[in-house]
Amino acid sequence: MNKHIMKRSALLLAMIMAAAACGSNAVTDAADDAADAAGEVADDATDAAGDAVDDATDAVEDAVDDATDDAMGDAINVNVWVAFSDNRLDWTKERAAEFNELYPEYNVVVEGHNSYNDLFDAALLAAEQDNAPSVMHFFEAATQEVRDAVQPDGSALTKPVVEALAGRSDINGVPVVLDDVISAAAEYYTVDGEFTSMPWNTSSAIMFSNQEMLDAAGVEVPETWADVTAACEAIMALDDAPTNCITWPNHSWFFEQQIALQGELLAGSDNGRAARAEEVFVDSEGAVAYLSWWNDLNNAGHYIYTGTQRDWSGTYDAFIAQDVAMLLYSSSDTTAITDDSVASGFNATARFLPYNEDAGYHGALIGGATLWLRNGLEASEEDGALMFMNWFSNPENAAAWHQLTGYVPITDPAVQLLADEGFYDDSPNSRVASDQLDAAEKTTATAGALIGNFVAIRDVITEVTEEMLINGGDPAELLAGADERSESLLSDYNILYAD
Amino acid sequence: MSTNLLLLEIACALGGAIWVGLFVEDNNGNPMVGAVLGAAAGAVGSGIVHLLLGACTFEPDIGTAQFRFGLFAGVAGAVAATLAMTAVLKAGQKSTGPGSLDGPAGASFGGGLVPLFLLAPTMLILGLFLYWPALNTFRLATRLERLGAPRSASVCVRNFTELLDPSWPAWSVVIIILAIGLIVGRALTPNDSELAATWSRFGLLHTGIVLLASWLFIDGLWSETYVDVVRATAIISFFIVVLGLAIGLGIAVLVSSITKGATTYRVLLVWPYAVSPAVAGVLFFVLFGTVAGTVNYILGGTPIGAQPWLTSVSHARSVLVLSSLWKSLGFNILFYIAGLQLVPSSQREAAQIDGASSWQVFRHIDLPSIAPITFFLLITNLTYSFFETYGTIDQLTKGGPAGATNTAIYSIVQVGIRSDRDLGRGAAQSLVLFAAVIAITVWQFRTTAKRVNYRG
Repeated sequence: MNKHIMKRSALLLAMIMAAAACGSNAVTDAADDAADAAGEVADDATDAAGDAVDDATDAVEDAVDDATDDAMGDAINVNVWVAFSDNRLDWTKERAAEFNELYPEYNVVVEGHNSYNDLFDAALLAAEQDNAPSVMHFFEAATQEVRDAVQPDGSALTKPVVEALAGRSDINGVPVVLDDVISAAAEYYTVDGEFTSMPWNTSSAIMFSNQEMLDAAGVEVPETWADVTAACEAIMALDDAPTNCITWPNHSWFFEQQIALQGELLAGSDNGRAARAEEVFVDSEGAVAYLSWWNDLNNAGHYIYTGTQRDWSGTYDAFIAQDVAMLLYSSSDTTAITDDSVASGFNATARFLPYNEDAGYHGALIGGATLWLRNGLEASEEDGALMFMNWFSNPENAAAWHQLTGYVPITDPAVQLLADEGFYDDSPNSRVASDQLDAAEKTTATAGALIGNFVAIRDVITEVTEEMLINGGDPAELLAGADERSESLLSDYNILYAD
Repeated sequence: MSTNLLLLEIACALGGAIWVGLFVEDNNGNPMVGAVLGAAAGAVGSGIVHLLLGACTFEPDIGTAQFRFGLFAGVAGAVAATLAMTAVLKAGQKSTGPGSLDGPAGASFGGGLVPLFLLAPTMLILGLFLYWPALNTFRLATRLERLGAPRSASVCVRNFTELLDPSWPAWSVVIIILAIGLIVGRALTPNDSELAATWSRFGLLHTGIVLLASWLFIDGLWSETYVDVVRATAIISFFIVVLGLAIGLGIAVLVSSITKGATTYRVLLVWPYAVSPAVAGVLFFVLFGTVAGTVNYILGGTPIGAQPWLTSVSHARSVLVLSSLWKSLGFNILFYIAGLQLVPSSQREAAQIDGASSWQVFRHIDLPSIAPITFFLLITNLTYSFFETYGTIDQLTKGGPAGATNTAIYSIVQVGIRSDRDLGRGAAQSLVLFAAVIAITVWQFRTTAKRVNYRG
């Protein structure tokens, strides 16, 4: 019985794949066949096969939709690749459908990918076959590499959006919102005076505290590193103290945040913004100070390490389960953390990232990703891509995206819209990331570093941090080793890309 | 051409000449002809290696490590070519020598072109999808190359020499020399002498010392950074293979004695094998996770208390071995059950009549009879532990904590694709793994296969 169904499902899948590869007539035929087959399968399906059948039916519907779309006219396809696979992808697809209805001359097709890295690889491979999508979603650490990436003919993979906009204030009636983008994001993505890509999901790292635990310990929400340590001592002295006091993912992004907060550079040539960075400062004074503080928290039993690098879910769970009183996290999950904490029986208070009191407060960085425009598109397709990008981040969409996730509202009018609606009065946590980015000094340190091979360098940093947390070791010594390895990764990169 | 390269070529030619010359003389041929053939093989073997490398290891500022690696690679090429030459000579002698009984076996397809023609589709597929990429790995290993980069660069053999740094502490040198002494001593002892009996009495100790020395030798080859990868791979694979075979056999023996509901039992035992390695990793992460793990939740209520499952080196390795075992055990059980069913019951009964205990029956009847299965499983389990644990590691530990589970295959993907995106370094590491798998398989065939009895 099961085997029978599996066989049919496999057949069905093969048909759908074939349908996707064929032209529109063939699609309709194949889709009809597939729909028949799906009907038969559904008839004798058991629960075990239920999921597979659902997927198959969805796929059939999609195939039919595509076929009808094609049949309806000469809508220009705009392929958009997005590095999400969860409800954020669903939301994007809904917006695309809305856009397609508003502007029927275009057909925006959104494709989800599992991670930023997967999408980056997929895009480079597609470019090799001259098949890259019109709009690609790359994360901030890849900025330098995306700018350097080339297509097989040697031309750049992407085109700065500001160049494609060419000073227009609207594209076929869609107002351009690039000039309204909040300054922290605009500064990060403006390189050599050119706004390179269209910011979308932008976040900052902030701190969440379990308000009830802080109250029980009689401490205020900490502002500095010393405050955190003091608060932890008070909390851990409670009779019903949690297992540990604080946690955050061992992700290099927090390292970069703390370097910027101390007003230090991570890379040479003004963080790679004056010219291509040829050295990195992974073992700077600020870096050593940060790791030493972290190491002390860990040795005192205040910090809990979940055992894996870049562990977003484990640290999140620890906070929601009230195993820890404080969590440093991305603002992208502000909505979820606020809701889940209430469901778990406590109130989470969001505040700025704690900073080094000895270095003073200089300002935090953005994180997240932007939409890049492919270079060498037909003018009409390029305009369609620009229309979608700008419409996608109009105040209403940007505000809705912020409310769904916690990524900052990407334009000033979107912030204003939310303030006017009174959203922040009910959700004060949601405002923290925007305020933190506004509070930053405008320097190259707080603009963020542009470095080649940044992903690998980030992994070197998290690796030595893990070494410190697991096996002990001197932060300065570990960082000196990390700096040497990072320099070598950067110089390898520059051999291949520098002019 | 540099003087050093010329010297290497001459040395390789000389070595080849002596080796093949002596071989031919032993087989009653003309030693001079052998010497000429050998010299050619030696020179061509090392020559091809350096032709492919562009003789880059002989460039002036190349550094000692790469220079030495170049010499080593040249000699290795010469040895391979010389051995191939003797093999060819041996084969030639067999087919033309007097008293050869070898006729064409099986059906004959006549002319030389037909078999080639019939082979062509297979060879085309193999060549396109297997051999060509494999050859490309060798090319990539000498380059700095990156997806999406406008150009690539040659790095000579840097990607290899970074992994290698041969150095052994004094005490391990002593053990290695001792082991070599033992091997030579055993080889020189005539088989029927009294001394040979003494040798066999200390057989286990002998094997132990040789194994220890082999490991010390391998362990000393690697650079400070890569030795952690080698050790993690060795430890994790060792436990997956040894425990997998032992537990698999144990369960199979127990299951074989069940008569009622045997099929149900077998299905239940085998199904984890259908789970993918990544899913096994997720399941064990749910069980052993630091924060929300079920096991620590339960242990927390007992005197044992919560354990650092994923934050201690030994614990994390144990959990990884456990999850890999859980996933792969079904396969071993299945094959052992099949193997045990093939042991003739008459042999067992005869032994029992002679008064053998059930342990003795198992040790002297069952175990030797299923030796071919064990040998087969040894190789498949080793391949599994080397290659297929990637998904489990990625979901369970991400190579951590502090590199404790960063095995060779995990490191290759990290360096080559995911983190460093350095195709050259990834290719070099995958060639090291390739060489290791070949070496271990050859070693297994040489040692274990001798004790395998295919006729019950």
